[in-house]
Amino acid sequence: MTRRARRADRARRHAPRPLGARIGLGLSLLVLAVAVVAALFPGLVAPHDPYEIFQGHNLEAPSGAHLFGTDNLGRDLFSRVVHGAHVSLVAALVALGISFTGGTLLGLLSGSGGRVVDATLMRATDLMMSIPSLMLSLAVVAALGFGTINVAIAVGVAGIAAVTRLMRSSVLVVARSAYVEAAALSGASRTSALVRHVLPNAFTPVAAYVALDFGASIIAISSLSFLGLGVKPPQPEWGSLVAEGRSFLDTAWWLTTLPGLVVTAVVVAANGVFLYFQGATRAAA
Amino acid sequence: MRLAQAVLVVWGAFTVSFVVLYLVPGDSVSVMLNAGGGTAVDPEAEARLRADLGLDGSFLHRYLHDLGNYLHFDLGRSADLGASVGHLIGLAVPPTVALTLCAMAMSVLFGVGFAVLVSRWPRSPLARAARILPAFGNSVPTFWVALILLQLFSFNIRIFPVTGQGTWYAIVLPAVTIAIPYGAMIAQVALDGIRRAQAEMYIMTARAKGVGATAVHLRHVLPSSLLPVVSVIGVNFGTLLAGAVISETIYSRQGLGSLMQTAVLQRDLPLVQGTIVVTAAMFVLVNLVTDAAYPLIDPRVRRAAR
Repeated sequence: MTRRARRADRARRHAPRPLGARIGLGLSLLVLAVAVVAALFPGLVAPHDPYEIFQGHNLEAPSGAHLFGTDNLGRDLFSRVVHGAHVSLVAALVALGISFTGGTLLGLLSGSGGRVVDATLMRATDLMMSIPSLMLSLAVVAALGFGTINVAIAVGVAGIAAVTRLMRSSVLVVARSAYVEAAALSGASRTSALVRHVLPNAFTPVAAYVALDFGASIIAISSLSFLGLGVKPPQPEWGSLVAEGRSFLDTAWWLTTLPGLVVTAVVVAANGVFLYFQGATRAAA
Repeated sequence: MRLAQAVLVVWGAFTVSFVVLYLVPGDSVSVMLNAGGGTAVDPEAEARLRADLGLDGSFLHRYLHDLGNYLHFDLGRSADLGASVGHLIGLAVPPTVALTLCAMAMSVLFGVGFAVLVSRWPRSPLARAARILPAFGNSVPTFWVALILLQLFSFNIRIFPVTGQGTWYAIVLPAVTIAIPYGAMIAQVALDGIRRAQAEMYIMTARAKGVGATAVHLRHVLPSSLLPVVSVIGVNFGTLLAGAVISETIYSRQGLGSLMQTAVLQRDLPLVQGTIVVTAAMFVLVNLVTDAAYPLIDPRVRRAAR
């Protein structure tokens, strides 16, 4: 790369993104921050205990006393949504951890191993991806049994194949670059070159997908919970809260609308972060 | 060649689901016997039932046994419902095909229509604001959309029935539900395709010849934007099938999705496996059809194939 090209490249990379994109990023990060605080310290954010029953106050519409209204037993819906954030978001993080750890390692192996390893792993991901991911998660839940952790594992396992492919294509690009060659020439062992140079550099383009996958995992986990495979009632979780409100569609709109709105807001925010960083890498490329 | 690949994928789906379900503690026999109400079971009868179903062998033995059955289109017996899996799935496939095709038609129509409208007046503030809509469509949980639609159109304004079956127009709400994320994705791809096409030289040539902006948009830009849309229809068909699980459950429609949901809830393993293999087969079939459609709409591919 000539010096002028390098300077132009740097200028492009540091050029401020349009104002709209930055406002979008700010809003997305704000929503995610609120969700994370709620998930970590539900007791501080929620005004009431999620299991506390307010006698004679069942099915009350949203008001100052009960921000999201109350459910059929007279429990404060807002507090239940806040406590549900804990279950839903922790489960989403577990799923992310599984698909990204598994996918990164397998992708590294596939991209840097021999041709036989690569071909075998790629055919395996082909097979995994021929089953729609929700179906695959359903099968894994059927195998593991019901419960939030099992649902999280199922969603994580279903996501491994996609991350493996992303990581592999990234490793193939990085492994051919000059600095990896230089590391090899300077006497670094294959493993050390792989771990110290290829892994971090190959992961960078994959990292933006963490945000995208976070949103997708939230949807997948709450969908499985909605279908009745996740938490046991009375414990609140975003998908199961919507499911509980289902019988009161006609009389109490807030029981389904508001928890669903919260899920949507968090997923939109996660996708917003992804789009911003994807736009940033595309502008730099 | 493509056909061989398709067969390989279906075999793969069978193998993956077999391995996953093989790891289940307890098998169909325990589900069947527990359905009776948990009374003491004669161990000898249990062993006999297991042998009848071919469940007593080693992993490889069972795998070959099941694979052989599948090759003869014998998908086994549902542990919970007693009926044959093939029969149950045969009943469930037509309504799901109707639902997904209906949703696919809606998504393509509205997704492409949206992209064409928005890109026709790229500088108008309304179009700019509308551009972010597909990103939202991708982020909304399907189960929530379904319930909101029910609330609006079945309870508030009583246009559509609460259950998605019976009258012919009952299919509208379930189809719209799953068409939203799929249509949003198609709109994004179509917008991208249009942006690429607008930069082509032949567009400028057409404009320079004096063809009107709208005519160029519809005659030249639109057709070339359809190519990426067609390829994405097949690849993302899984979104529609996954949506069908939610949509059919909520609108209590008969179909592959709701069958799979009950199968998982009852841990009816033969039925779970059957629905997964049939789903994968549908997925592969749609991809074969879209691949075959490619040369029909793109003269360049047609010429290359010759």
